Amino acid sequence: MSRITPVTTGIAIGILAVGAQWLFDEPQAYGICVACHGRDMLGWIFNNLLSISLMDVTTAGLSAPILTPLGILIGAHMAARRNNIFPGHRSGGQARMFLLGFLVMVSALLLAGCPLRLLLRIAYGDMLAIFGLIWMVAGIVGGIAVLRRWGS
Amino acid sequence: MSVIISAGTLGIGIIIGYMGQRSGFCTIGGIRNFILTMDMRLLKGAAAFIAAAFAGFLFAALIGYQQDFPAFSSAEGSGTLYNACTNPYGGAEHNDGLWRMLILTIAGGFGVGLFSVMANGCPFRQHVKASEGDTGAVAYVLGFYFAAVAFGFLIKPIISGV
Repeated sequence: MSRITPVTTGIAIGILAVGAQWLFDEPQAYGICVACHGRDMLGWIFNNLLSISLMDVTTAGLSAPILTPLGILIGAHMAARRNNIFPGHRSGGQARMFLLGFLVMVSALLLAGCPLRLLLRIAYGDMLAIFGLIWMVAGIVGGIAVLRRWGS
Repeated sequence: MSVIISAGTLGIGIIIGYMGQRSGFCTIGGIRNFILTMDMRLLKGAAAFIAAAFAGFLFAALIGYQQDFPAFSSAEGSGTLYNACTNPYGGAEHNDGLWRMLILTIAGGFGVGLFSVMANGCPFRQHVKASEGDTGAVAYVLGFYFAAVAFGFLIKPIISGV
């Protein structure tokens, strides 16, 4: 994999996350979050386009649709296209993956952020995020044990 | 202003999506690979993310943009010790009681780690894989957004009693 390494990607996401904070006054440390931004994006669609108040959104998501997850899908698609990754690896068990996606989103909303925002909150000096990271690592160890015991 | 927010977040998403596809950046994968095989490749990316964001917040505080950067804030009663940075609805909020905040953070943190490892990647990675045409990841993303909608009427009543 060429010049774009995980380290350069991490640095770019970190700088852009701080830069994106300029767009939102509230909540703090909200520059990057796949789960919260996805929730705000859907919530804006429901509340403003369909006029159904089905979901609560943050103050940042009230004023305008936050399109980070859509951008990630588009950007990754462009990268895959340009480098002929299609058709990609197919992980099986769609019902299982749907359930896992559901459970991860519910957990992320309880945690107030996906893993990316958890790390961003740690950089921001949020002690609760450090506490959350410890439990996320515990969850990862638990997940490895589950996969070892019952297979993937 | 609303156009700037949408265009800005969309542009940032495109950049990090592109880089994420080329590099395989994954926070959960970094920790998992380190535990399994001491492989530091992805973990270094996550560490670089924290370092760059910390440097960025420090710079923003130095030029006076964010005065309430909690890492250096000494403001009393501002919740410096456990500032949850607000505030997806129903989740851990900074104005919650301490026990509720800790319980939700434990449940959420453990759940994110456990289910992300079982799904083989963090939400960011799953979005990238879905864009590559991985049908499992597409199903994951659909479940992900279904949960975002369902959270309000399925999960919120349960946790409101905690």
